[in-house]
Formats: sequence, structure tokens, C-alpha cells
Amino acid sequence: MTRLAYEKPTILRHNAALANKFGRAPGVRALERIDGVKVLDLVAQFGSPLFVYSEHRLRRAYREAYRAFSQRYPKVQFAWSYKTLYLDAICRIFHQEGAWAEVVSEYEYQMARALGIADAHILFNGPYKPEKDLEVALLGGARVHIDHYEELYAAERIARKAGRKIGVTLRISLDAGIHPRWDRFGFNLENGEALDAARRIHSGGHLTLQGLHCHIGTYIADPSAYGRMAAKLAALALQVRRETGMLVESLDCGGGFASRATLHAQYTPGVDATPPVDDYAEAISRAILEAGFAPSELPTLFLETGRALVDEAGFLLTRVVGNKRLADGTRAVIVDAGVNVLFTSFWYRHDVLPAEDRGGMLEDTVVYGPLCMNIDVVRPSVQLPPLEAGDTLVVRPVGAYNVTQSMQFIRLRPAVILLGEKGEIDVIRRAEELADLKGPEFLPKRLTS
Amino acid sequence: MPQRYPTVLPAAAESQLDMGSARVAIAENVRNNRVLAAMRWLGDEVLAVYGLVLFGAPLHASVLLLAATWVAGVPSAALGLLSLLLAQGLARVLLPNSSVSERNWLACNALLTGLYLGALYAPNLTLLALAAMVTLAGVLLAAALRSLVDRYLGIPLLSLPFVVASWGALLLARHFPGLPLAKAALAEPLSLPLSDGPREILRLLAAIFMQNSAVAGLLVGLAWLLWSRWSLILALLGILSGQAILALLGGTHTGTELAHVGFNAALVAVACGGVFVVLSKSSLIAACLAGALATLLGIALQGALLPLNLPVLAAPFVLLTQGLLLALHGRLGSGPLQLVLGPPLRPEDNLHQVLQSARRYPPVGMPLLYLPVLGRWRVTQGPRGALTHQGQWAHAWDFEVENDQGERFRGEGQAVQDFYAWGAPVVAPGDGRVVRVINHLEDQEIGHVDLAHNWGNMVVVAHSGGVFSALSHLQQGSIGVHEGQTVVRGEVLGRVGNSGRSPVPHLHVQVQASAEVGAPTLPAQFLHFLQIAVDEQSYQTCGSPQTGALLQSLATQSSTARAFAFAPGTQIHWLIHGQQLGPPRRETWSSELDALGRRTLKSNGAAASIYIDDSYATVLDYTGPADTLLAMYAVAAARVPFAAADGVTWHDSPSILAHLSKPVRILLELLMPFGAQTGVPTHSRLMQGSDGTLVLETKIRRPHRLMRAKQLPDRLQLLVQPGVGPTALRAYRGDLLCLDAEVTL
Repeated sequence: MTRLAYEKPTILRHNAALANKFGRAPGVRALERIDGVKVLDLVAQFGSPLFVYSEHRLRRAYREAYRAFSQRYPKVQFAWSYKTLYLDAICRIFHQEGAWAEVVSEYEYQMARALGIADAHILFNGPYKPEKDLEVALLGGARVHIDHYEELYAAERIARKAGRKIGVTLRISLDAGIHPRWDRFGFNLENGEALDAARRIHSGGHLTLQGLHCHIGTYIADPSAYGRMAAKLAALALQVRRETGMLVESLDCGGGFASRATLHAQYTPGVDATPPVDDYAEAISRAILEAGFAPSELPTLFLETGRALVDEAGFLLTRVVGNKRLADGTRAVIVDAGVNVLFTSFWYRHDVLPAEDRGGMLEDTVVYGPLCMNIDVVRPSVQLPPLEAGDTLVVRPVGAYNVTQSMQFIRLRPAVILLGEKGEIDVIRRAEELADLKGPEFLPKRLTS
Repeated sequence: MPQRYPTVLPAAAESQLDMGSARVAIAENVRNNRVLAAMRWLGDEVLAVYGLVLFGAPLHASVLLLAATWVAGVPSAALGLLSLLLAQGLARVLLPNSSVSERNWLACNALLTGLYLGALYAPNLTLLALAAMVTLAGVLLAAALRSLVDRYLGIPLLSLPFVVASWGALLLARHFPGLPLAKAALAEPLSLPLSDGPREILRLLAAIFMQNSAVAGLLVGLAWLLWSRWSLILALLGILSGQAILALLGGTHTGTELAHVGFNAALVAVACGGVFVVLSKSSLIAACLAGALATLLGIALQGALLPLNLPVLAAPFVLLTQGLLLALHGRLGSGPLQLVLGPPLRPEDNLHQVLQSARRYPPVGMPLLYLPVLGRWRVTQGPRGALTHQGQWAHAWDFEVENDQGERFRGEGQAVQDFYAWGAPVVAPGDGRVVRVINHLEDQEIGHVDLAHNWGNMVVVAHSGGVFSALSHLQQGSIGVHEGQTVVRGEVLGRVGNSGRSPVPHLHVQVQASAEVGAPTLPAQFLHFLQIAVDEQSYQTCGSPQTGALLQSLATQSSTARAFAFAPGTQIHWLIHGQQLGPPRRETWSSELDALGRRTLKSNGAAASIYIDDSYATVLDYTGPADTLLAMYAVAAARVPFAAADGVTWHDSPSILAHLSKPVRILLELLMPFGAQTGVPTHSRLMQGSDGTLVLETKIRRPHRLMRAKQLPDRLQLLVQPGVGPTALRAYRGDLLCLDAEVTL
């Protein structure tokens, strides 16, 4: 007979599992399957930590969003925001569904071109575009969103050198009635810079104004903010048309729609609190349709949705490493994925669910990651049943930003797999090895002995 | 890769460095131009007039007709030609703004008058003077009558001025002693070994040109045989019907009398069988009946005109044809006989155009709407739907929105807001004027209906052509337009609601003939939409979708539209590599626009008439040799929607006639009224290629064995640069590349 490990007894206050001032007991006790595939099988096959993406959810999210907008506005084009998740397989899925590409740096631009996306279908954003990459993009026909005057002058130089007129989009910042107000990107509308920039484009003679772009924030749960933004953007487009004659053919309303994740300070869970994408579509479409465009001059509506399309399609599987009791008796669990792969846990209260319901009393638990850093907390408090080392936990929704913002700090980045619609399981990014980390390094000769 | 196309027509001859040789070159040019101009004048304004007698025969047939007039009677032919030239001159002077076709028609009447007078009277100066005066009178009379008849009756005058002018001449001539009648008919230049019957028929054909010679008739028949077989068949049918009816009625008429009347039967049969009425089995019967009627009318008129001592000439033909056209005018396409819309061509071409149009384009007179909703909608009840679209309200569509999983609502579906269709904008299905708005009715709860106000909140829009579209069950207070307001296609009228007899939020669309609420519906079709099936977006130019169809309005891409704009004046230079050994061939296409707004792509001898609007570009018809690149293009790009989505597919069946060898084409033309297919079915797909190019791939399904055209490949691939134009065209037979053409600067 093997000796059982000793665990010091603790006194635990029972919850009657009814509503109390801390809320109801969680209804879901375990997440055994993702898209019909057993979580434990995935971990057994691929190890942990492991990012899991569901193709079905990705496609459904895109189609829902496209339906919501296309039934309210005649010309809609989505552009997949690469910075949210730029793995080839994911980008390819969205491009197959009909999305263009939205990139914010030269390497994202190259990723899009490598996937076969034509320049004309790339939206190039960002406050820093090195001039040589800006030139490649502009001359290729990409839709470049100009952030500040120096970029505008650089674009003019490029157009003058090429000897032809090039179309550009102006990024605009404006007050949409929300906080925080993002006025660090683009030309501000309220202080007049936006209109000045448009006039400058017109008088410069080397560029034409192709479109206007505004991205008001991230995780905005109030669709009316988008309505206000779209109305102001449309009004600016009409003003530009009146004053300079330039026809703005596209309005890019950016992204930032809330997904069904929950912010730390948010009481109502995201599943209940986040408005459906139809509300955003209604606000934006109505604002533009009622702005007063002539029917033949109605601009194309571009959307750079990222989070809202991919967040709920992504899961992280992690295994318990150890248990602890903290000084005040709080239970703590250490798992093998921390803020190194879950950067968004600084802001969001992700669901942490066991992969298997083995019963047991739920207890408030702190979930710590594997890093030797005090900030590495996945969840400061979550109700979990007793767990043993090796038990698998599912963290969701983690589809947006976590893969792209993963660090190589202390631990190497994990594998990412994709569950296909017909049950296929594919590795779309393998787990990193030491060579991936040390590869770019050089050791000076004088330090080798 | 060419960036743009030159937009001016080609410059004249290259500059010569040597001024002397330049001068010589210019003089040479001018002389050549003068010769060319003379040749063109001869063809367009002299020979064409002879062809006009047979409803527009081309040059090679007209030469035979000219020969026919000269064969049997030189004086008659000479007077005819002189009258023709005089009339052309008078028309230029008196009617300076007239078109070539109008002057030719005036000259045609003068030609017939001259031929007749020259055949009737002996040639002398008096006759010449009389003919000149009569020509002048005839031209003035014709011009005056034509503007009246064209504007108020809308039917062609045909050769009525000839008849009236000739009668005038005859009435005049008997007062002047200097006009003796001509001697008896000259001997035939050739003796033809024919029996009486066929000889009589040939004489009748010659009588069209006021001649009496069987050889002339043979030339006329030959001209028709070379140009339009069906015209000849109809003419013979007319003549035979005339003879048959006379035999039936048991009349006794001498050959000459018949000759004075009989040719009318030929002409009226051609006119009423194929030229002004579309050739069909019914029109053949009509031609026979018309021929019989013409003969009888001629004999009757002969009796009536006897006291005045005037001949019947072409009066029966003119009166009968005009009468039939008046009777059919305005009754388009409803019966077995169909009027030819547009300028009348030879019978085969008229029929071919009608067959093509019926096969490929919306039916004439059918009300056409664009989809009144945006995005993807399901037709939950179509025309003659079992629920409510019955009887007088059969032609209507109910539209609802489904999500990816086929659900029409989120959550429980207990509230109207849960339904995806709720609140969706409803747009005007075409330009028009709002004539009726009901905006105050309440939206019903799910499952409840308002039977007192069947259609709920609605908008009725009046469109051109006297049709009205009605959009019903809209949201209370959502209609932003008022009665009397002009709206354009795509303008938001209101929002989908749940008012009236509507258990769940949906949009009801119908076309009706009045502005009344609840008027009976008219059959209609939607324009330019995509029909969505599993993994397939198939484009339809027009159609009436049935219950269960999933539709999406065609979102267009302006860069694709610009690539197919073919702005008038542009030229596209192709370099073609064929499979056979030999140097690569060059071909240049030029885009033209005529005064009537018709667009054509021309390429040395070949012409493709094209139609472009903001939704699609289509090749209406191709005429010319089968081996040009333009012929391939006419099949590859017979129809191109400017779809923004990738992978849109569609079917078409462009005409195969131009691709057939001459004997097969003639055979097919003969079989056309009896149901022979003239189109080759194709299946096309528009895809995004690498680097932003568009790839239009057209697969040709195997044509019928009879129509096997050696020139047609299996698969055509057209590469297009968005915003610029075509860059390459390739043809494959199986996997073998049999033609590779690319655009050069």
C-alpha cells in the first residue's frame, strides 16, 4: 500500500450555493470538450500549456459580423486585424471568408503579402512606418492610413518621385463621448487638424484623399459611441467634399468591439453584458446612411475587427503544477501558463475551468503562473474544486492578443493548435525550442574563453 | 505589364524626315483618300439603294441587283440610275440634315419610279424631263409623308411614294404627245431551259425591279440566295400562295396581269414573314396568308383603278404591310407573331437577335427590380407560395434574414428585436416616385397578425413604364420618405418591421399595376443578384427566385467596373501566339460609340456590340470571322458582373453562329425557326488571382455535333488588371494551351 501525501487540514466555510453578496456559485463546473474534442486528449497529445483555436467559432463569428453589417449597409468590407493574431492559418481562414488584411507594421505587411494578399487589399495603420516600407506599400497600391504630418510629407515625397497621384487615408481622432479618449493616433478633428490635413493633401497635388479612418478604443461596450464616431467621420467626409471636391470613397470605423470577455472591474460577466454585433452594426450604419451622402457617393464601410472575431474562439489549456496555502489561508494553485502567455489577464477576468468535474467543494483560489515574478497572477480569485498536480484547466476566452503578445520570458512560447470544422486537429505553431530563443545571438570572441 | 491604354485614335502616317517624300506621301494619301471616298460613296449611296428594294441587301448582293436591272432593259436601267442620282442630289440640297439611310430610301423610291417609267415609255428627252420633275415631286412627297407617318403612326412608308409618284406621272403623261409607249419587251439575253411555271416565278422576281425578264429574275433570286435564304423562301412562299389562292378561287387571269400584281405577294411575304415580323413557324403561315391576300387585293385594286387607267404597282404590298404593322403595333410579344423591335435586318438576323435576347437577357416588357434589401436574405415565400401568395397576389416575395446556422432569431425568438430581420433597412428597388406611404400602424407581437390592415406599414413607389413596387410590413414610424418624393435606387425608404399580417418580422415585396394598397400583383424579376447555394455564389442577371432561395444583392467593385469600361476611343493592342508555327499575330481592338449610344469593339473586320452599365458588362452580339481574338473574347467575357466577392460563377449561352463554317451556319439559320439552338452553353467564374489580378475563367460545354466548331476551345481564361483592363487571354483545349494572347503597349 502506497502512502498518501500529507495535506494539512484546513477549516473551510461552507457556501450554501445560493445567492449571497458575492454572487451566485458558478453554474459551469468543468469544460470537458472544445468543439467536441476532449480537452484531456489534447493535453495528452500536445502537452501543456497549449493554445487551442476553433475554426468553427472563427468562421461563425466572422459570418455573424458580416451578416450584421451587410444587411444594414450596402458596401461593407472587413479587414482582419493582424496584430490581434497573425498566425498564417488564422489569417488564411479570415481571408477565405472574404476579409482583407489590416497591418500595423512592416513585418505584418510582409506577412500579409506572403499569404498572397494583394496590396490593394491591405490597410496599413500605425504611427511608425519606416520610409522604405511606406514607399513599398504606397507604390504597390496598399491603403495607407496616415498618422501625422511627417508621414504625410513622406508620402508626398514618394508620390512626387513616382510621378503619379497616390491615394491615402487619413487617420482621425475625435471625441466619441467615451473615456479614455484616444487622441494620440491620427489627426484630431476637434482642434481642426483633420480638416487642415485634408486641405493640405488637396493643395499639395501629389496625393488624393481615399478615405478616413478612426479607431476609438478597445473593448468598447457602448455601440452608441460608434454611432457618434461614424456620424462625425461622415460629416468630415462631406465637409471635405464640399470644400476641396475630393470624394472620400471609404470610411474605416476601425475595431474595438467588445468581446464576451469580462474586465476585472466589471460586475456583469461579458457573456451577458456585451452587446451583440448587430447593435454596433446598427449604430454605425444608421449614422452613415443618415449623414447625407448622395446615393452614388456612399462610401465603402471598412471594419478592422479583431478581438470580437477571435477572442471566443481561443482557449488555453494549462496543467496544475502545485498547490499552496498562503499566509491567510487562501488556497493557491500554480499552473504552467502565466502572464507570459496570458498578457490579457492583467485586464480581463478570464474563466478558469477544470477539464474534468470530479466533484468536490469549490473554494476561492488564487491562480498563479509559473514565473518567478510577483506580478504573475492569472486570476486573483476564482472558485475551483480541489486540484492535483497534473490536472488540466481551461482558460477562456483568450483568443485575442495572447498569442501575439506572448513573451519568451523565463518560459518558451507554447504550441498553438487549430480544431477544424470536420474534427481535424492541426498544429499551426509548434512549441518553441531553445534554438528559437538563442538563434539570433552572437557571442563576441573575447568572451568565449 | 502595361499600366494604361492610349486614349487617342492612332496618329496618321509616321513622320517623314525628308520633306519631299513627305509631300509625295501626303499627296499619295490624299489621292488614295479620294479614291476611297469615291468607292465608299458608290457602295453606300448607290449600290445600297438597289439593296434597299430587298429590305437592305449588302454590297455583294446589290451588285447582282444592279446587273439585273441592266440585263433586260438598258433604257429602264439608265433612267432608274439617273433618277436615283438625281434624288440623292436633291435630298442633299433640300434636306441637308437628313441621314444616309433616309436619303437612300428617297433614292430607292426614285429608282423604282425611274425603272418603271423607263420600262413603260420609249426613251427620249421628254421622258427625261418628266422623270426629273416626277423625281423632284416624289422626293418632296416622300419627305413630307415620312415625318408625318413616322411620328404619328410609327410604321415604315416603304415604297408608297413610288406608287403615288408613278401614278402622278402616268396621269400627266397622257396629256403630252411626246411620250410614246415603249416597244415590246426586248428579247432575253440568255435563254433559260425552264418550263412555264418556274419562268413565271422568275419573271415575278424581276417584276420587283419593274423588269419582265426571267434572267433578271434569276439574278434577283441569286442575290437573295447569296444574302438571305429565308427571304428567298418567304418570297417563293408568297408567290406560290398567291397562285394557289387564284387556283382555289378558279379565276382566269392572263400572265401579264398577274405579273403586274404577283410580285407584291413576294414582297409582302418577306416583309410580314421575316423583316418586320420575327421569323417563326407562325410568321411563315402569316407570310403565306399575306401573299394570298396581296394577290387578291391587287386584283381588286386593279378593278378599282381601271377607270383611271392606272396600274396597281406596289400598292397591295405597301397597304397590306402597313396595315399588318399597325395592327400589331403596341401588342408586343404576347401572341405567336412578334414585331421586330429596332431597325429591321434580314429575317435570319432578326430571329437570331430575338432568340439571343430571350435566352440571355430579361424578357421585353417584364418589370425589373433590384433587391430592396442589403446583404443576404432568404426567400421564405416566393411567387405562388402556399401560405399567402395565391391567386391575384401570386407574384410576391417574402424576405427574411438567417444567420450562419439557419436560425432567424437569436435567443428565444419571443420578441421582435430578437429577429435578425427586424430593423434592417429597406431600400428603393429602382428609381421612382413615392406615391403611397402608410407609417402609423403598430408592429405586432411575435405570432400575432393584424388582419385589418393586411399590408401594414408600406411604401408604394411608381417606376417608369407604369409599374409600381410595394414594400410592406415595415416598422412603425420608420419610413423616412413622404408621398410625392422622388427616390433613387438604393435609397433607404424604411425599416423591416412586423406590422400588418406579419407573424414574424419580414419584408413583403410585390410589383403591381396601380398605386392602390393591395392591388393585384404583376410578374416581375429581380436584377443582378447572387443566388447562394452550398459553396457556390451564382450570379443571375435576372430571375424570379422561388421559395427557399438564398439571395444576396450584387456588391460591385469599382476597380472591376473600370477595367471593363472600354472607354470610347481606347485601343487595345494584342500579341497573339497560336499553336501553329509562324510569327505571332497582332490584333488591335478599338472601342467606338455611335450616335445612338451603342458601344462596339471593333477589330479589323470583326465587331462585338457591347453593353456596359454599373453592374455588369456583356457582349450582345459578335459579327465577323471566327478566328479573331475578339471572337474568343465574345465567348470568354459574354457576361461579366463587377462582383466584389471572390469566386462568383454564372451561366451564359453566347451565340455560336459566328464560329461556324459557312455551310453549317446556313444550315443552322434554316433550322432556326424550328427550334435549332444557336447558343453554346458556358459556365464562368471570376476569381482573385495572385497580386490583385482578376481571373475570368469560362468553360465551354460541348456544343451539339452539328455545331461542332473547330475554332472553339474548351476553356478560356481572361486575365484582367483591376482599374486598367484586360492583360491576357488564353484558350485551352483540354490541358493544351492553344492560344496565348497578351496586351502590349
